[in-house]
Amino acid sequence: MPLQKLQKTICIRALAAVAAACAPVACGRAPGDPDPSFFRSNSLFRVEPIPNLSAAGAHGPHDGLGLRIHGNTPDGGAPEARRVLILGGSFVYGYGAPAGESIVAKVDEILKSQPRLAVKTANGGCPGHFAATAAMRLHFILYAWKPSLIVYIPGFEDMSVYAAAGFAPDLNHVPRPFTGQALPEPGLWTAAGAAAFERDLRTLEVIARTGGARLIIAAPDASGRAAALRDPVFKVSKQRNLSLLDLPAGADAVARAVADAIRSSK
Amino acid sequence: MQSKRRFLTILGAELLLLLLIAVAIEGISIAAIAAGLVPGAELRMKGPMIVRPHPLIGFVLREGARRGTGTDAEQIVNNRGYRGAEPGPRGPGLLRVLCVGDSVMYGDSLPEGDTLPARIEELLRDKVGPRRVEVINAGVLQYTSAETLVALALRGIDLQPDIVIFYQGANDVAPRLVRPFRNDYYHYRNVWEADTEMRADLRLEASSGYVTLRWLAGIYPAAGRIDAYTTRPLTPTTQNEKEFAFNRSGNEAFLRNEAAGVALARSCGARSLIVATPYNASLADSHSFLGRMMSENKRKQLDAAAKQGANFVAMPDGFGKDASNFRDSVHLTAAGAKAVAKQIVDEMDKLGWLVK
Repeated sequence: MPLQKLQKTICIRALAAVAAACAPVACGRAPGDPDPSFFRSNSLFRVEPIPNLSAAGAHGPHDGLGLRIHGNTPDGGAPEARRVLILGGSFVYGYGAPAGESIVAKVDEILKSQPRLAVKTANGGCPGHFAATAAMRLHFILYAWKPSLIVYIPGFEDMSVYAAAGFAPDLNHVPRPFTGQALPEPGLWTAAGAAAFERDLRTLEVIARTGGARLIIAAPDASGRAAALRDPVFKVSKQRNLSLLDLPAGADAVARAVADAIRSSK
Repeated sequence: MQSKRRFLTILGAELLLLLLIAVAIEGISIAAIAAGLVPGAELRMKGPMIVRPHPLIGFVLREGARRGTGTDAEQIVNNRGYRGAEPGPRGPGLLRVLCVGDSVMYGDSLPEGDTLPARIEELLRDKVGPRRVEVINAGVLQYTSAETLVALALRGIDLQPDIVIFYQGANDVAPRLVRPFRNDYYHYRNVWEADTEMRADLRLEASSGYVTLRWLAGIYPAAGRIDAYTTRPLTPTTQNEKEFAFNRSGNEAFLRNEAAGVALARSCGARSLIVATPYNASLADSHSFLGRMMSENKRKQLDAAAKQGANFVAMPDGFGKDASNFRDSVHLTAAGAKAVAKQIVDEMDKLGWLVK
């Protein structure tokens, strides 16, 4: 009897696991797609956090621009505070974790602990975003929030897109979200992929500068999954005379490094 | 039992009759189109789809697509997704001009040799002597300044142009009519998810009978229109909504898209020309909705040029008043395209950009 019960439990758990894995696909969502209750397709930058979403939890909440709110709303605080927008993919957004645990929330906490430092940070991360989508999203939100400093933290999504098998320089190979196709697994880092990544970092810088903001680009840590992005980041920062932030490993160390970079930037 | 058999016989006969009627309509329509009584080719020019979805630009020209086949304005998209000849390798001594913008730049309803980029190339060849000239037509039907900007960032600058010519503005008017306005035109653009097989209504459009019946009923075959895929259903405009078109957000978004485009071009070492998009003043005077909107666009284009150090090309006096320059309110005729091309090339020459 106990054996039968055990078999039944195993069967139920196995079925539940299969159902959980298949559920996103069944509703048109690939396993890597963000939760459609919190994110939606955008024709110009692929996916965006649904604006004005008050639901909090593992994702959200979002303000009117789709920026993730952590503690104070990005528009709150002293008006004279310096505005810093941190852009990136799911790592920056803090996908799957409460808003207060995102890397941006940690940076904010560190900066707020510093006396006489009036800085407002905004979480411009979005799961499924990479340099090109970050640049275009920046163009369309830059003038509404008016940051003076942008920090771009490339991550695993950049590896998925720029080192994808079947890579196309105009990024035509990137699947639309919610169509049942996930971002590809990173393949070999090619010269064409590196060139496109560098191009999109330059676009990010041009967009930021056109809107009157400075850009800091971060180089992922040398031991991580996105280490191949380091060389193009170093190259573009040198070419465009940009501030470079060499990231350490570990979320807390990254938050401290980003906070230090913001503090020391003029 | 007998009544059931009778019912099935009548049903079968009715279905057969319907089929015969459909075949007859299709047959008559094919004959009417062949005899030139119904402008089938013109109607079919709206399809098949010459654009396809792109995950980050919204939509792009479909590589290898043809439009208007059988007319004197056949449009062929090359394998790089641009109208006209395929760009060659970027060699030394080449003067490469990238023309970006909307259907006016693309040359909708114009033969290849009469489009604005083709005319610019023709005039440039006379000016630069033995230097190799290549003018790329990167205009795309229905593009607003937002799509142009993203396409320039992901495709245009990879072509390493020496000069980028911006000709756009008319398609930025419609997004300003829809509330709530968003800078990225999310409120206006449909997210075209996947280029799956043709929609059922598009397949129907392939039928001569369908086209003819809609033509007889005075209904435009909307299924073949690009905006049936790329644009959200728009609410009808009222006078108040037209006034809304003068909202600051919309005008500023256009300015920013133009300015960012010029900045991007400059970042890859290209010079930029922003062309003041003319409109048919014989159809719409300067006080009309279109006239006011296009004047507002022109002001923003001038601002963008001044802000980013681009050059601005204005049309000669009286150009807009000459109806022979326009096919409709904004699209140019062959004569209009030739005149605009001359104005652009003269400006390049004046600026000293055309060194032999």
